[in-house]
Amino acid sequence: MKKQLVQGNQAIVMAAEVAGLKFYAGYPITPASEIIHELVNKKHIKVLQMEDEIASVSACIGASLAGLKAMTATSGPGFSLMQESIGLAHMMEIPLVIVNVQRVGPSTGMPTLPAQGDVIQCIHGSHGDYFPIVFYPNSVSELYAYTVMAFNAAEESMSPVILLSDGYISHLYETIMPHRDFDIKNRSRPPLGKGDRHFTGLSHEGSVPRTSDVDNYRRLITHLYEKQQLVAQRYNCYEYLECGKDTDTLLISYGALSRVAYYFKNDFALYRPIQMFPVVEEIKIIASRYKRILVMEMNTGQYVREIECILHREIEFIPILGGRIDLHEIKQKIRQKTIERNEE
Amino acid sequence: MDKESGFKRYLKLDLLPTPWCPGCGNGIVLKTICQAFDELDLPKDGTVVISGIGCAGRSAGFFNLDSVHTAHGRAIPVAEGIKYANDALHVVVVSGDGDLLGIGANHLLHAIRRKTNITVVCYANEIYAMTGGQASPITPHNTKTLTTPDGNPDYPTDVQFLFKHHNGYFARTSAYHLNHMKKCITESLEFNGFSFVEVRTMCIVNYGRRLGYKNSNEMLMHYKELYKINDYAEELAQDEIGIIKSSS
Amino acid sequence: MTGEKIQKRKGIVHINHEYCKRCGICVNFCPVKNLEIRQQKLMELNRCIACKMCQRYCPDIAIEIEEVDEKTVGTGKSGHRNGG
Repeated sequence: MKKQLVQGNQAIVMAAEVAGLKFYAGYPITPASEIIHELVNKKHIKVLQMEDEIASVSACIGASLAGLKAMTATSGPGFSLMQESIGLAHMMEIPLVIVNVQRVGPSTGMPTLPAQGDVIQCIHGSHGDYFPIVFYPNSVSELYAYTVMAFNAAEESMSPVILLSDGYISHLYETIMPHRDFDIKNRSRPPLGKGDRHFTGLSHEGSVPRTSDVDNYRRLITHLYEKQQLVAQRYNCYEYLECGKDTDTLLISYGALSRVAYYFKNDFALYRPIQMFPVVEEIKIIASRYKRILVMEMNTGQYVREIECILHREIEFIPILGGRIDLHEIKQKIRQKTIERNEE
Repeated sequence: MDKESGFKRYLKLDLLPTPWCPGCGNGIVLKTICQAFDELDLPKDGTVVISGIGCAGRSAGFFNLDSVHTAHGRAIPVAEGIKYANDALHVVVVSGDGDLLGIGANHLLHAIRRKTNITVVCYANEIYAMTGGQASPITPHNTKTLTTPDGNPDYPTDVQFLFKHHNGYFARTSAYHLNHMKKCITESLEFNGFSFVEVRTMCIVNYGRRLGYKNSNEMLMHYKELYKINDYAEELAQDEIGIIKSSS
Repeated sequence: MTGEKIQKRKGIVHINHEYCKRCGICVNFCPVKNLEIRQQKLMELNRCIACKMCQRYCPDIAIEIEEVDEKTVGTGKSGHRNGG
């Protein structure tokens, strides 16, 4: 096994191959296009360039029903287009992996510049209630590992799993060890064309649509919720770095921004969720050790609300809006927050 | 089972009656599709039906086959994903005109271009029926609907022209012309390439009634009088049904 | 029916009243006026010639024609119907 210098998007492709990817459908979008560029050269993977992201995710749903492991990759605008079908995939229990390489939004925003504005869209983008598993690594080697995890989690939960990335990490070159010793999960459901099953986005009981049976609908949603929680608990991945010296502050960040947070490892304890959703419960225990909780993210406060919800306490928030990660700026903002706090 | 009822093996009879209104033509189309399946003796293991949303979209659940009821307009890309994933499957899309030619028209355009080997049967009732009767992409000019109280200002889409520069199979038929409909669907299932069968069918409750038809019989009789069969022509006129086929 | 030429019965109309929505398409297509909707129910009048037009056009798969031998029936009794 040799170390290799690869780009983030390339690492996703290498890992997807290891995980057993057989079908990819996508639409060109920066900064995710390298994924399809890499995949078209793989002879054993069926790659389709579709007419839009809606068709891409729909084709993946079809291929997944037909028994293949399927993936699509996009960025914010495309991810928005996919939302309806993501809801459908949850309702029909379709395993697939959706890579979202985030860029600055809303709308066309600043293409290729990184942001973290799609965090809430991952769980609330489609209408109705659904409970996706979302991973967000922060390095190329983690992208490699968590792409495999995403495929496994998809097969175990029979649901679309979202792998978040951003313009920085996906375009970053790092050396990775492309090992293959993963426990790969395979499909338990027989492929399409082997029976008389009916897959529907309507509320259903088995193969039969139940359009006005409220109790059945409630049972269905509870089943979907419990299933997702159960699978997510097997992964529960996060990074927690205790501080060398005594500190009362826990700094929470994730994705590209968390790479900069390592600079503060001698001042604060650091926490980084890798499994963004369902929110890892361990954060309650970790947070209880600290008086002060600081959250920074590249948006106006999306994940901080989730943390507030789970911790039920006051949390300080530092927005680092998308486009640029500047250590000097972050230092200044943290200092400012600390001064404000001391004045109070 | 005798010849006439052999098609029933493709239906989940225990789920009947269908959810459609009395006099709806969708049942006739559903039945004829199954008869075409029966004629070709399509294997139950190896045939899948995909549908979109709307009245016609509900028909997928009645097939005694693996079937998928997708999001609105997305039946074709899902079917394409299935076909590209497993080429051995017979993939049939059943949906309405609003679903296939309205919200899903982009996908239709590209499936024709890609020549994906799937069959699409469009239940063309010229209206968005499930939502109460709004104008659809093939509602004729000047027709009154809920959203066009002064008559439809637009002209209907004519799908045959989408096939103009792409080899494929296009047929227009009607719910009155049962033999022709069966022939069209059977041929389209056998066709190696993208095939599209547009079946003019009647919606009495949310469409015909407002146009002055007393019942769905009158609509069927209208099809009988209006449409002349013109198979294997270069182009179909507005009042013609028939097949346009180019080698695949 | 007196005075009319009594037609020999060639088929029995099996009507599935659970499927039937009483849309009347069959009534219209029947060339011998064998079918009628009376009191919200589709009825057969025992003069089926087994042309099967009703069966072919029924959108609800509610009608099935059983072809019968002319010699065995012709009494006009409707004892063969099911689902009624």
